Amino acid sequence: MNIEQKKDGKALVLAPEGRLDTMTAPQLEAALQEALPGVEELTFDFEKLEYISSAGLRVLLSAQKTMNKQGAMKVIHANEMIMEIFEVTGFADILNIV
Amino acid sequence: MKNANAYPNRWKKGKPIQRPKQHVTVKSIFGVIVPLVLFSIIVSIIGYRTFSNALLNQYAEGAFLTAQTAAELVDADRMDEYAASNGTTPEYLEVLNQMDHLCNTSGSTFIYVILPDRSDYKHITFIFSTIDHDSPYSIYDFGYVRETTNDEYREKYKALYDLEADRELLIRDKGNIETDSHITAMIGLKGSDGQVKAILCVQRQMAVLTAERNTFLNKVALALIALMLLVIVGQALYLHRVLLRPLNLITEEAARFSEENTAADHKLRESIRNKDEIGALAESIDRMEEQIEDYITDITQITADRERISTELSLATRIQAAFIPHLFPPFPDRPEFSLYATMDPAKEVGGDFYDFFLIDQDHLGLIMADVSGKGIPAALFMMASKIILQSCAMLGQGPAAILTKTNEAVCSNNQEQMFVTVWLGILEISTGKLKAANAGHEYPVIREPGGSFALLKDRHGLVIGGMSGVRYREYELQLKPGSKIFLYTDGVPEANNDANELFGADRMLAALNEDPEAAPEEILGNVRRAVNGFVQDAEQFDDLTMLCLEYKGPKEEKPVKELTVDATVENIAAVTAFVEEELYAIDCPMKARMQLSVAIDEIMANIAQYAYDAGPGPLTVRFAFDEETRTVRLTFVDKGMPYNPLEKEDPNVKLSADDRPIGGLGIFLVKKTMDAMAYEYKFSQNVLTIEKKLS
Repeated sequence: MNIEQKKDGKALVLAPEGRLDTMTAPQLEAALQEALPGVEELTFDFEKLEYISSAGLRVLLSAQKTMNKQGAMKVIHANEMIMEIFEVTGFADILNIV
Repeated sequence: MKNANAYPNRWKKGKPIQRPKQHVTVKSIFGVIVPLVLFSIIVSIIGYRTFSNALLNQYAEGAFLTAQTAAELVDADRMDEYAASNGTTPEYLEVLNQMDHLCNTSGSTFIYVILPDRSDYKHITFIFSTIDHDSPYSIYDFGYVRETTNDEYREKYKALYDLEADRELLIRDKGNIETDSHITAMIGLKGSDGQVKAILCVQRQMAVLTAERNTFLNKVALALIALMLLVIVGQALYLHRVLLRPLNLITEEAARFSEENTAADHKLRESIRNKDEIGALAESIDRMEEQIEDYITDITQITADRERISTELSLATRIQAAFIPHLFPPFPDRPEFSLYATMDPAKEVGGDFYDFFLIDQDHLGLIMADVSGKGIPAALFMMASKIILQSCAMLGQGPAAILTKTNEAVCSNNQEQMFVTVWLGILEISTGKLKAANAGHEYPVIREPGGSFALLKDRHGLVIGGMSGVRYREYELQLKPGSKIFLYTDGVPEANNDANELFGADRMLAALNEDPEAAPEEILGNVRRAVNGFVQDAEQFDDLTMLCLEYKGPKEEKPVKELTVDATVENIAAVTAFVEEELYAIDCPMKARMQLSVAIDEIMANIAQYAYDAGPGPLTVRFAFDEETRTVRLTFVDKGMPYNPLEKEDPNVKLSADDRPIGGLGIFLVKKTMDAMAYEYKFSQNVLTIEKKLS
C-alpha cells in the first residue's frame, strides 16, 4: 500500500491509497508510529482510499486517541462508502470529518 | 378451560306434576260406604222381617183372642136355630148385640159367623155379621150368601170343618182384595158333639200394623243415615290426617324436587311422623333426594371434567398434528426428491410419528418412529422423542450417532420404561447416498428404479429407551434417480379385519407394487385404500403412519464456485480476488463489491485469528449467485473449533474516542452491510453464510 506523507512543521497529512484493511492497516499504523510524535495537526486525506475495514478503523481510533492528547485530527475527502462505514460504526461522531 | 360454569344443570325438567283429579279419600269413603249400605240394607231387611212377623203374630193373637171371646157369645149347638131365626128372634139379636159390642171394643173391623156350603165350600152364608161402626165398609146382612173369595178360604174352611186345625189365619195384603190389607182370624164353632157347626171370623185391618212398620223403617233409615254420615266424616278426617296430607306433602315435595333438583331445607320426615308405610315412604324420599343431589353434583363435576379433558385432548391432537410436518409438498424448491407422508392416529392422539427436515442444503433427515403404548402417554413420549431426535440430527452427525445420543437422552429420564422404535435415514441429496440406522423399527421398503418394492431386511438395533449404552450401526444405500423408499409403522402390516386376520407385509407390498411408478402421494393412497378394503368395518386399532420418498437425482446446476486456501490473513487478498472476479462477471455495482470485500476481510481476519490453534487450517469459500433475486451468497467453511461470531455482542457505537475499545467492530460491520448472515456448526464444520442483494 502506498501512503503519501506530507509533513509541514507540526502538521502532518497522510494519504493512503487503495484499501485500508487487515493487510494494509499495519502499514499505516507503522507510518503513524514513526511520524506522529510532535505532530499537532494530523490530517487523513482519503481521496484515493477505496474502502476501510475494521482493521483500518482501529488505526484511526488509535490515532484519534493520541491526537486528543497532543493536538487535533481531521479526515478529508472520505468517499460515500467510507462515510457509510463511519456512520454505521459511530465513527462519524468521533472523527472530525471535513 | 375457558368456562367451567358453562355446563348448567343438565337434568331435564319434567312436566309439572298435576293435582290429582280423583282423591284417595273419596275413593276410600266409597269403598267403606258401599259395603256399609249393603250391610245395612241386609240387616234392615232381616230386622224388618223379624219385626214384621212378631208384630203380625201379636196382631193375629189379638184377633184370635177376640174370636175366642166372640165364640163364647154364640152357642154352637143352637146354630140351626140361629139360621132359622131369620135374624129376628130375641136370642139371635142378643148375641148379635153382644158381638157388635165386642167388635167395636176389640179394634176389629168385622166379626162374623158363616156357614159354608159344605159340599164344596164354594158359597158361604152369613149368620152373624158385625162391623166397626167407624169403618167405611158395609156389612153382609143375615142370610146373605156369597161366593167364597178364593181357594185359600175354601181350604181353610175345610180344614176347620175337618178338625185338622182349631184355628186358621189369613193375611190379605197383596193381590186383588176388596178392602185394604187385612188379616182374618177364623175358628171353628164346635157343638157339644165336638163337630164344627159354623165358622167365626174376626177381620182386622192392617193399617195400624203398616203404620207401625213404617215408623220402624223410618227410624232404622234415619239411624243408618246418621251412622253413615258419621262414618263418612270420621273416615274422611282420619284418612286426610294419616294418608292424604302426607301423600300431598310427598307429592308436592317430589314435584318441587324435580323442578329444583336440590334437597329440601325441611325434610319430609319433620312434618310426616307416621310410623307406617307412609312414614317409610317419606323417609325413603328424603334419603333419595339427598342421594340424587349428591349424584347430580358428582355427575355435573364429572361431565365438566370430561368436557375439559375432551377439549384439551382435541387441542393436543391439533398441537401434535401441527408438530409434525404436514404441508405438502414440503420442499417445493427441491426438485431432487419428492416426499409424502400421512399419519392417522387410532385414538385422538397417537404415538406414531414421521419427520423429515433439511439438516443443511444437501442433507435430508427422514424419521419413522413408533412409541410403545397409545393415547396421551404415547403422545407425550412421542413429542419428546421427536424433539430429541431432530435436535441430535441437526448436530450433523451420522444416523448411528444420532440414535445413540437420542437413546442416552431418553434413557436418562425414562422412569415409565417407555420406548420408541425409530428408523432414521440421512439422504445426501447431491449424491443419493442414504445413510440409515434402525432402532427396532419395521423393515423399510425400497424400490429400485424400474423394479418392485421389496423389504430391506436391515440390521435392527435395540429400541430407543430400552437400555442405555446401546450402540447403533448404520448402513448406506445408494439411491438412484427413480428410487423410492417407503417407511411405515406396524399399524400398516398389523391392521386387522373383523376375522382378526392381519393385513401383513405381503398385502402391503402388493399394494405398493400396484403402481410402483406412481408419485409418493398416490402410493400412500394405494396402501391406504388396500388397508381400508381389508379391515372393512373393524375399528382402527393402531396408528397408521406412512412416508414415501422418491429420489429424483441431483439438481443440474452450475458447478459451485469455491476456493480453498489456508485460513491466514495473507490469503485474504487471494479470496477477495476470487470473489471480485465473480462479481465483475455478474456486473456487480461498485458499492456492493466494496462491502463484500470488507466483509471478506473481516470474516477471514476473524477465522485466521480464532479457528485453528495449531497452525493454519483449510478455509473454503463458496460463491453463489441467484439470478432471480440477484443475491450473492458467500459461504465460509472451516474445520476449526466451533466459533459463532454472531454470538458476539455488538459494540457500543455511541462512546467517545477515548472510551471506545480498539477493535470488535469487524463482524458488526458485516452485519450492518450485508442483507443476511447465518452461522451453523455441522459435520464438525463452522459454516458462515452471508448474503448481499445487488440492487
